[in-house]
Amino acid sequence: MTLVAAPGCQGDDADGGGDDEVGEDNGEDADGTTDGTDEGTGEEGGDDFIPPHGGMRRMLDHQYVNSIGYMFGDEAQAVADPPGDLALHGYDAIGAAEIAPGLDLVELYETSALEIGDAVVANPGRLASFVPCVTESPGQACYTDIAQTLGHIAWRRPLTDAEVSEIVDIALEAEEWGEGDFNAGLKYELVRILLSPNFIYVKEVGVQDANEPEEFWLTGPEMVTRVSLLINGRIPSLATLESAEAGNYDSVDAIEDFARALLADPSAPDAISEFFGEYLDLRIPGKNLDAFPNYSEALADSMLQETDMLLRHVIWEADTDWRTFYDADFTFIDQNLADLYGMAAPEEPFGQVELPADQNRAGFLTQGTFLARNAHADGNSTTRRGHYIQERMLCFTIPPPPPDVNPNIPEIPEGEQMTLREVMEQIHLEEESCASCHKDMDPLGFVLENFDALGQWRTEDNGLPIDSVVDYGDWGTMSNGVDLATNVAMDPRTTQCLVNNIIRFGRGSLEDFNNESDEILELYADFETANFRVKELLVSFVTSELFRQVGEPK
Amino acid sequence: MRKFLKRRTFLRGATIGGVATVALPKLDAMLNLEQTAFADGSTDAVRYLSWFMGNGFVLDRFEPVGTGESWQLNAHMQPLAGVKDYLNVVTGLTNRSKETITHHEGMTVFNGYTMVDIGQGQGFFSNPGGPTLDHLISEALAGQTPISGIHLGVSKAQSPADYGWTMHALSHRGYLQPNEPITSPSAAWQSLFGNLMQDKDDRELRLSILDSIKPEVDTLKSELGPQDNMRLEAHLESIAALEAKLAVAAPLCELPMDPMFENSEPINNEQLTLVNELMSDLMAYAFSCDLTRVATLMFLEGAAEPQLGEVQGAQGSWHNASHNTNTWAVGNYYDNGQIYMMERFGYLLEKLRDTPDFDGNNLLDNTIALMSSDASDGSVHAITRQPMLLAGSGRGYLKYPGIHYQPAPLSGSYNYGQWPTPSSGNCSDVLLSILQAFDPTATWVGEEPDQWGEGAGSGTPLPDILA
Repeated sequence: MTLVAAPGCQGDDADGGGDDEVGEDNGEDADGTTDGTDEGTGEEGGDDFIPPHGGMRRMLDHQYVNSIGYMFGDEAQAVADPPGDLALHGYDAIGAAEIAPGLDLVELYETSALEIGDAVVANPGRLASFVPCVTESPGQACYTDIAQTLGHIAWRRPLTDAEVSEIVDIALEAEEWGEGDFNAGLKYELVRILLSPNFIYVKEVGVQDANEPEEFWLTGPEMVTRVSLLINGRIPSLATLESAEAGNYDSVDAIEDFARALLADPSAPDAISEFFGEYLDLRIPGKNLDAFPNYSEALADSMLQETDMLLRHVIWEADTDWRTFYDADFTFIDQNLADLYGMAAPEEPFGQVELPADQNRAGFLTQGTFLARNAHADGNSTTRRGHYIQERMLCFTIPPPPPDVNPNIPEIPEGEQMTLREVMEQIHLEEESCASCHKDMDPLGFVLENFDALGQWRTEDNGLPIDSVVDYGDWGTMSNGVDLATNVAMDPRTTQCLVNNIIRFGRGSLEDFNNESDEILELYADFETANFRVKELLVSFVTSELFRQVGEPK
Repeated sequence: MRKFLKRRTFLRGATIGGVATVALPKLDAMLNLEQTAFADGSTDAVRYLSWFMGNGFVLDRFEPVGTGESWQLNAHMQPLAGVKDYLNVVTGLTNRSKETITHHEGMTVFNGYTMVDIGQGQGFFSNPGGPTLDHLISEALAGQTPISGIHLGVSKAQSPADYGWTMHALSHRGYLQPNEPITSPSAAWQSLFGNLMQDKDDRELRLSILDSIKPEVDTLKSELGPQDNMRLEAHLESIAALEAKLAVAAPLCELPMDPMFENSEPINNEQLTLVNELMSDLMAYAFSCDLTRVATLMFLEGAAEPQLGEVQGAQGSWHNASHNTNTWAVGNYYDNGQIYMMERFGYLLEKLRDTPDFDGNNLLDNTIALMSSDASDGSVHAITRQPMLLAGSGRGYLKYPGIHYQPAPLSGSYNYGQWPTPSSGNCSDVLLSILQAFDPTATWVGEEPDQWGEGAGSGTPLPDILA
């Protein structure tokens, strides 16, 4: 086999990049590099792995906003308002890789950049930390420093002299327009840099593997950018970029060290919560105030904070088994939620409390977010609750109703009083054409019928006692929220489904079992070996071929 | 903390404010009445708009009574009585989408394409197979106005399980090229008028910046594959769209104030009547100022689940109501909601009717509006007899007074909750008829027939509705 090192994977770690002696079993060579130069691990050369296409992804709006904060400070971050993300397959990251820009895209970026420019002129301190001349010696020569240094950060690569010249020309034109005002030149120079496709789009094309022509290894700068965007939620620091350009992030060990360092950064929990924002998609619809007079947007906000605090507790504070998110016997509440759940409020404004045993609550599936999101404005939906669990927790797809099925809800005979469960059993589970799909949805919702459309505990529905006992396949008999939560937590599909979703979010493409099955199964196994700790999953993911390789540019 | 779970797109634009709503001034007070020509110097501009409401019709209360010239409004079209002469109603035609997954196929009446990418492991998923009619018209009118089209929405609600784009936008430039509807009136105002109201005129400078970044787009294209090249082409089009706005020397009319309303209330509590009025007013302004001649308005997305709190008897989600027999009777939620929707469409049509155009006609005289839904009978997701309501006479292009075209009457045994029969013809014939008003050379719209001769496109316009 020809030993041709892929650029960016030279393994010549100069400093701090991980002088690797031992490769782990996730695709790197024995020397810790990823150059595909031998078949020593059995994964390089001749494998069946075909990564998804490389290409460009538009930076997500949270990544854009955080990057502005990194480059220009809080004031500029506060006014950064890029075009909204467009989701595809449930993820903005996939939309950012697949969907064409709207016609208003550049206008919205420009509006944002102009605002940022004004904010930086008024508050130049952060920019001056990269380019001191902005405050120390403002003048035309400074425009060149700005283009070189800020351009390097924003575009994630050094600029050519011609590119610097193009940018400086704009600055000078603006300075003249501003009648000699340095800050006019500064503002429009920043607009010029931020409006460039080199800032807006993240290019991930890698370098072709010498032995596997369908595989392209992301370069060091591409890798640190991809990892930073995932774990930090922003572009990498200038120091990291320069180190990557020097070849210090070409080894998988260096990437692991880098990922661990980012996970310890204060920005990591916010960035990873962006993932969960999409994974859980907790947009809580408003409620009918006649049916739920205690509904308010403030209550919905409290619900969201409850779920976010449990997430952060499991992943960051306790750094514990992900399944705790489902079977925790505690939660985090404020006065709003204490009133809703019928519990005593904690002493602090939002504090950790034990869940009351008599309501059989456990973890996320008995929190207001899940329960209220998957309900109607005026009442419960057993279908929605079950559908959400199947689709998001277990990655089990329920097809839409076939066209020849009558989806209509029959009229309940006047005077006949029925619970929602009784209605749904009649219309969703008696007819085989409906039951073939609804048998996997409504029964899971039946178990949660003791929680109303806001998540309040109840014992009656429509004036009739609630029957929450169901027998559901391998999960056996369940009678309450704890039973359901335990089954969801212990089902191996739950942790695997989280892995699938992190792949989607982290690289902007669906997992592909036709071409990536070994690597995905390996990631499942890594997660289990790490006792299902999400931080370790992230490390395994970013050091896997699933993350480090792309296919031909799409 | 919660902001990370409360997705940013949901908050978009909320920073502007939105505590007060400023009523837009009356249009006739704002127009420069000395103006006699349109932005491109022509005197014969025609506007096009698509209008959509999700979850279908109740056909036996919607389809007009009688056909031809002597037809009467049925119960659900009564809100359009004030503009009846401007209506050409087409019923009884078949939406020829080759696939059905519920709701998505209904969108074919706006583009003539069967949706693609069906399922893809996510159940209720598809993407549109081609460009919508409004985009074809924008292309035909390219360069005649500063803005190629404005795409608005009223309700923010979407189906909670729909991960594709077929229904998330009413306007598409092609496969995975949606024109996402703007649901904030303030953002819509900004998109239409914001660049015409500058404190300090830096437009030349900004045009220089745009000009200088184009080569960078080209360089990037050389490094990427065909799919990303298509996206970068769209990026260049986006640059061109901004350039066109910045190049506007002076608007043809005085500009309205920012309505200062964000439409940020949660689903189920949205102020849909107010948002519809603000969006309709902005569309009328945009047409009357000749900033654009193409618009779409998605009032409520198909399979979306909001409770329409402003509808009498509202109980539960609108989508649910379309399937819930308890809501269908006259005077109940679904029945009232159908009338409510037509009132909202009627507001826009009357606004256009009451707005003078430069040539002395009113805007409705010079507009063609197409209204439909994602199904004919919403309860069973039928696409037989899918109604297409045309409003406006298109500067004499469509019949005025309008007619009711119907190949055959609705079966007497039909009740809401069934696939309606008989159904014949092809809804896309209507699309081609409209397209030819803007592009007389057009001979086809939508997808070509497959090897079995099946396809949703059309090469045969519907002459009956033409003047």
